[in-house]
Amino acid sequence: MSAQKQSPDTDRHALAEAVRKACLKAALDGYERAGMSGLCEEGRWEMVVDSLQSLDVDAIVRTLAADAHAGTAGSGK
Amino acid sequence: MTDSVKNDERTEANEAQIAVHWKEEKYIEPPKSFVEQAILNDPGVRKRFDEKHFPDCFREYADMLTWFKPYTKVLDTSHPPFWKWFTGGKLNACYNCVDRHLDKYRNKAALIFVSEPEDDVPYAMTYQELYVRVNEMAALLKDYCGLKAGDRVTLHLPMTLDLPITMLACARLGVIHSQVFAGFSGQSCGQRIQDSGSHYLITIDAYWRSGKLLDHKANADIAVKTAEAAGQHVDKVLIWQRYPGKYSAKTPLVKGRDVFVNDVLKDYKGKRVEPAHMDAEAPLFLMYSSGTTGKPKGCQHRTGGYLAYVAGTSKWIQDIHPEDTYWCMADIGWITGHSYIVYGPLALAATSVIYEGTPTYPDVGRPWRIAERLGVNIFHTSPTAVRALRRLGENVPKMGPQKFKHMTTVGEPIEPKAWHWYFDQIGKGKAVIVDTWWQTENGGFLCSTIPALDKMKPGSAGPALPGIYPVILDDNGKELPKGSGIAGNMCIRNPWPGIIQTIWGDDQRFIDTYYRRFCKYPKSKDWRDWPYMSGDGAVDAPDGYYRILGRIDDVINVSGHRLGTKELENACLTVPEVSEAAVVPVVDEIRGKVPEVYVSVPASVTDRAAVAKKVIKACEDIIGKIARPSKVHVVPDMPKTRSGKIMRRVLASISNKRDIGDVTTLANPEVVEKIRVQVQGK
Repeated sequence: MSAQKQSPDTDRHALAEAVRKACLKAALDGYERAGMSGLCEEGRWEMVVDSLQSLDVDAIVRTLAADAHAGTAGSGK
Repeated sequence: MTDSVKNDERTEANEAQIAVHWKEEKYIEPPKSFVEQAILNDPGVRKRFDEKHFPDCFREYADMLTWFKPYTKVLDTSHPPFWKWFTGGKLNACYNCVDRHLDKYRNKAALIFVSEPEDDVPYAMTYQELYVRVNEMAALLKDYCGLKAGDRVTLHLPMTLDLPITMLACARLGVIHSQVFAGFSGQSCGQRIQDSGSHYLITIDAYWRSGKLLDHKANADIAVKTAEAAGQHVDKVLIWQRYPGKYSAKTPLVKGRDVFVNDVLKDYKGKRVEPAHMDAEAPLFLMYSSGTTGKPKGCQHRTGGYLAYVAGTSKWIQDIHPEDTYWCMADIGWITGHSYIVYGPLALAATSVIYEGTPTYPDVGRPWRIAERLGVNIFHTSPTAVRALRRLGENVPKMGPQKFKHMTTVGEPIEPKAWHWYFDQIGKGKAVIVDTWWQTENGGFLCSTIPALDKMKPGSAGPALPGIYPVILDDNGKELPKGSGIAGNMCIRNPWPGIIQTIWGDDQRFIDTYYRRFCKYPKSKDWRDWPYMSGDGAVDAPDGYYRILGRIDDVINVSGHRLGTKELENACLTVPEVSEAAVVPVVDEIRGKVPEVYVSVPASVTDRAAVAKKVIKACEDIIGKIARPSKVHVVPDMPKTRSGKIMRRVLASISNKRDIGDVTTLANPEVVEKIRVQVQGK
């Protein structure tokens, strides 16, 4: 059975929210991991930038698509 | 207020203004039990390493190594600032870390590997086994890959035994290894492959991190693609297997390019390779540093000086005896791991622990269980880890049976509150703490207490190490009086054996980054004219203890883009009405830190809100939206010293609502209160 159809604006908003969430997680994880490893402030920033650059956007799209299929898009799940 | 405009850009800045307000803490004596067993307990060491005895004093470090051919000169300064250490000498780093220990410590653990899955039993690799494995890998690199001394190889390996084995195998041949932190992306790895000119990438299929077996091979494909796009061809990708004989990644192999190390190694079983007799100045490895500003810098470390320095500081500052079990929680992918997990401890025949995973996985008690199981008595970690462990399990270590004699911190200053928790709860008041300051470019510690000789002072790194002569310079290169307590540029007046040789392939950048600013006589061959600029700010307290304040290079990180405050100020100065401009970092509870701009305008300018808008537009137009200031304060005048320098520290204190301190020596102290009222209200 197909998922409930959503407006393009809702889809775009869900995508933007998902990207924001993923960016925040990547940045915070990178910053923490570098700090735990004994890096200075500059090195920690380098790690954050690298984490954002290498963010797996395909995974975000896949997750959203799966959520949409399951009818949970935009629900925050 | 009409002259203040806000925005929502996330920003970041240095920590200087925060750290400088820590109050001076009381001294704490090193525990007697530690002092009694310490390697370095002769107070005469500082005299032996004073300027009168420089550079010959560093023979003491060089003498900790085994040389195939003795050096003829300690320091050659004929081509500043390209110092040469222990010239004429020949040695091999791998031989010093492995072979020479076999007679006495053949069956002692060199490395103990702790896998992240807790059910896996830790694996202790003896010096004999390390010798065998390193030789076989060296034979593979030499005969299968055709690598020879001076070639570069990029490693993208996590914290498993494969990493030190590969590093030491390279060192045995004189091949220059360039290890990229495993947490870095394939793109970052590819950039470093290209810059170093590596034709080989050595990686692993997978590794554990926070309970997941990560597919690391995928990064290798991206790295090769990135390097190739930049013009660097990669001949082969050698892949270690996390579980030998089993491929643990989903990413398929590339036929003709990818090979499993374990498969090829079968052909080299039992092979031995003579350690190459390397010149003391031969590069040992590259360690890339700081790529946020553009191209990462390949810090090129030499063999003799570097190894001597890390052996000496491991012995004297970390007090590593061969009988100790030493655990540094840093990652070998950074300089701390190179110097103080691999080269330093192994040069001393220590037992060094390598932990694969996240320290807080599966729970905050993991580090203490590892320490207890392995009998770790020297523990080395970062203030971030200390804070995280404290936050997640305030009382956990107190209940554990760990018995540390010595604890180190590295990476950033540790604030007194965290220091006391580390001392009381983790060390149980019986372990000495050394708070170290140094950088990737330095090879090893530059400031720290000598643990058995100096009292500890929370929040301070301590005095300079023996043979290191720091100086704090103001922005004009003038030396600040010792013990003045005034913040300035932390510089080292003299060369030392651990300093990098250059930036790989870019001698000019090496000079420009570390020496140009404060070298008054560029033609001078006297090392005294070539102070090393660390780029960090520091305060030298009256007792000679240095408090490191973080970067002082006038750079603010805005969403990961590092912007010079000078760039921002210059943009502000393009607005015709603006006479002067100053940019300061401001702590923001929600967003971390934000830059604020102060501009002064002549009294004839009455529409200050219009000026503020023009300033914002100038920053956005000239640098980009990323540089939009958080607030613009249009003020009648700037607080200045009598020599006319704008006191940004005072402005930062006003913006951060902190104690402004003594301003009576300023040329115009009356303006400070006016600005304070304008910014903070009455």
